[in-house]
Amino acid sequence: MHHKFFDTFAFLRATLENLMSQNTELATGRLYGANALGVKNIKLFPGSSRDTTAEQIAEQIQKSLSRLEAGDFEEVSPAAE
Amino acid sequence: MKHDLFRSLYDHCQTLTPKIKRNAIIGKLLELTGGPRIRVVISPLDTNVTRGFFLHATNVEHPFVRANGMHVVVLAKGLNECWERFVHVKEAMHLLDDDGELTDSEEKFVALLNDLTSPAVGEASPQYQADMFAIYMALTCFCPEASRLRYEQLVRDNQIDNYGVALQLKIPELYVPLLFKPNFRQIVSMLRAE
Repeated sequence: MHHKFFDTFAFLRATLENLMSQNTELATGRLYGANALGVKNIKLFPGSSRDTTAEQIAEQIQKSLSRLEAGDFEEVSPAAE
Repeated sequence: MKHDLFRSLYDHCQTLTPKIKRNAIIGKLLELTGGPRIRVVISPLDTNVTRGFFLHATNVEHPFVRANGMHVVVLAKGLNECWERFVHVKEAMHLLDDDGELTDSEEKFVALLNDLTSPAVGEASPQYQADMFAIYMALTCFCPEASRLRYEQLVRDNQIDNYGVALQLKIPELYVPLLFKPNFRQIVSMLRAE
């Protein structure tokens, strides 16, 4: 029983890790892949959580690129103080 | 970092008086760097994870670059005025990154993400260091030295607290204590390469 539970847990964890690493792969593909954006520089402002993972940041970047491509943004006014 | 350009920007900001408008800083920065157009947009981001980012993309054939240009700053939707100003100016500072600080490969990008999310053991990547320097660069631009010394005295005399200073500078309270740390001038000297 214990053995079975451990197997299931290991499987779930492996699946989760695989899903998570997909975010980094997607983001790096969009930024640096062949015929991609040709990124020369990218920098980030930290968020408020201390427990953020690299995968979560990669996910935010790649979702943000999709939103920008879909026109989901507002321009900042040049007069903004 | 392009220290010579930062020195010029720093000197310019010494002539300004808080509350300093972000475009008084960024306008000078663009003048110094030859004025690449930066598109600045507000778009949803999970602010637990990141409050914004700077992107320099060079593939002019790519639809994203054709639509937005090569330089984009994304600010998280819902930031208050203080945060929006600070994130905007900090991200624009990356126009001053030198070649060694650019996140121009997958490996450097992954190293930056790892440095941002795990406590540094040993040397942090130049990309991460540039990210942290930019926070101090933005602080020096929003708070000229004469103002900083005045606020430092007022805080010492209990005539104002960090929140009051943040309100006057219109920057996030979170970063005000950095202005009064004993090593602040040392960091500024390092940024100016004095």
